[in-house]
Amino acid sequence: MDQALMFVNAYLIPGLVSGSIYALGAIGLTLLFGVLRFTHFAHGDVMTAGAYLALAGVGLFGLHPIMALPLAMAGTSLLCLGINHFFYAPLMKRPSLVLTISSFGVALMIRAAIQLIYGVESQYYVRGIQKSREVFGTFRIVDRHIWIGCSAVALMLALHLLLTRTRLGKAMRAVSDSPDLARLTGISTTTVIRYTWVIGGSLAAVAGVFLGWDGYVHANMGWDQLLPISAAAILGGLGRPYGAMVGGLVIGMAEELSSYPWLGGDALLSPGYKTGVAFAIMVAMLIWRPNGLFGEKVR
Amino acid sequence: MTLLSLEGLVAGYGPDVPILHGVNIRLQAGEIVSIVGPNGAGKSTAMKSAFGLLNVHQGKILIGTEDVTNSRPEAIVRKGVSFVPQTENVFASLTVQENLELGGYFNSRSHVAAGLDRVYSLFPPLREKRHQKSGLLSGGQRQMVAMGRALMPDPKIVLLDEPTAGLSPKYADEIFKLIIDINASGTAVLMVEQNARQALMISNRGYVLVDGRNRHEGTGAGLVRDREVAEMFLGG
Ligand SMILES: Nc1ncnc2c1ncn2[C@@H]1O[C@H](COP(=O)(O)OP(=O)(O)OP(=O)(O)O)[C@@H](O)[C@H]1O
Ligand SMILES: [Mg+2]
Repeated sequence: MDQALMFVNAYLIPGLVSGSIYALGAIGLTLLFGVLRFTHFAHGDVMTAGAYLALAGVGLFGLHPIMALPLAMAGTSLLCLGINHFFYAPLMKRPSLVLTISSFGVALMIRAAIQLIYGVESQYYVRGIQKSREVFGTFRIVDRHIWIGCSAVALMLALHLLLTRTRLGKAMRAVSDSPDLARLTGISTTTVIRYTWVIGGSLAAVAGVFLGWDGYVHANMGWDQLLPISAAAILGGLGRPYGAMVGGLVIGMAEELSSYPWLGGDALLSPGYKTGVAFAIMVAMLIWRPNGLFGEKVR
Repeated sequence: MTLLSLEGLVAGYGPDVPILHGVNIRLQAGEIVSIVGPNGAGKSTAMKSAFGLLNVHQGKILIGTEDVTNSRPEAIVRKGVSFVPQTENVFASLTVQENLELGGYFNSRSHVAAGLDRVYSLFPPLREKRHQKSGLLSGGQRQMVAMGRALMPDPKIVLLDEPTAGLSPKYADEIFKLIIDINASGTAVLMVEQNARQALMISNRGYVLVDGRNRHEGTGAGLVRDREVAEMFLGG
């Protein structure tokens, strides 16, 4: 029983929490890849920007991190619309490698701006020990993990409804499928691209805030997540939002479970190798299943 | 009444090298018009240029009397012209019904509902398959989805680029019948066809395009009877 408790508290819950965060980041990455056909390497830093915007809300108005989410989402959406307008839109006709490289530049700019404003020290939304509550009379779980899990599920459900039930969602899928045919059908790709930035940026903001809430806020926090997030997006198949949801959870769980003492005694892998797990999964996928776990078609 | 005209069109995929060297094509209300010609003649290019997908160097494109020479495809489709391209003409990862709904992207909800009814009664097999991904359909059914999507806004004009390409003769016959039905319901049809003889037989008029220029034109039946046209372009 103790063993089971430890498994849930120390591995399963942290795995689900980081999995949710990865999924939120990976969805944006994959949606953007779908409509723009390039990998947005500044996505991690967009998450960081969201985390700092929420920090401003928490610091200035004393908001609860959850209440600071709308502020972070709105600010990050504006940031994304801005970088799209000034950096990516003018390069749309160029090979996608040009966009990819320019996104590295954007990543550096966002990080540098954050460091200029906030410095390089780690900061916290909430200080002190967090209350935890008992679930099912056995497990103890802290409130923020319940918030993070439930919000992530709600957001993914909302995205599902958007993609399948709304005109905008269908147009996004159409542009992702075939941009030329979408234009012939009367869909403005420019408009769809803007909405995709708003959605991808907002989800990245949430991921950033959750990451900061579960640990600390730091200028490099998002950049450090780029690897597991890309791994999650590739695992699910680039351009596939449902794949990214599953991919995020799988990467999050795999990272935690890799350090579980499966063979008794010591951790299977030292927790220091967590990022290595995501990297290994990504490389394996790129070699054997470059279209993702569920992918059948080459893009 | 002329619905669509390409007048002295010089156009290409970039700003310098023209593919069309002065093409003239007209489509009148109520007509079916075919464009035939050898591979690489510029038939698809002519259609794409009418839809705002090319760089026009000289000449103009009119819809009715309105000059749309440098309009974007998103604008052209809103003027009552639909286009079914030769390749990549369905959203493969979307269901049949989603493809059709997107065909009515800029229409009201009631217009879309009416459009679905109309398209499903024109293509009954699509109704049964409406929740299937269109990428999984057979070639003939995929062509129906593509045509259905184009017909959703109830356009005045449809442009069809090789609607029977890759289909069995039985399916091709069916598509030609459907084109006649679509035309009978008041939509003018401009098509490019490899099955040139069959296409010309159901066309009011036809154009033979060679090397980006008009070579022959006439009534559909007239072109089929023309010995030179038959020998050169219709396989004897
Ligand atoms: N996207 C493109 N970019 C540059 N050149 C192109 C493009 N598409 C076609 N071309 C060129 O334009 C010319 C005409 O091609 P087009 O596709 O219009 O011929 P077509 O008459 O439709 O032939 P087919 O019967 O094979 O469909 C060809 O020389 C072709 O190489
Ligand atoms: Mg062609």
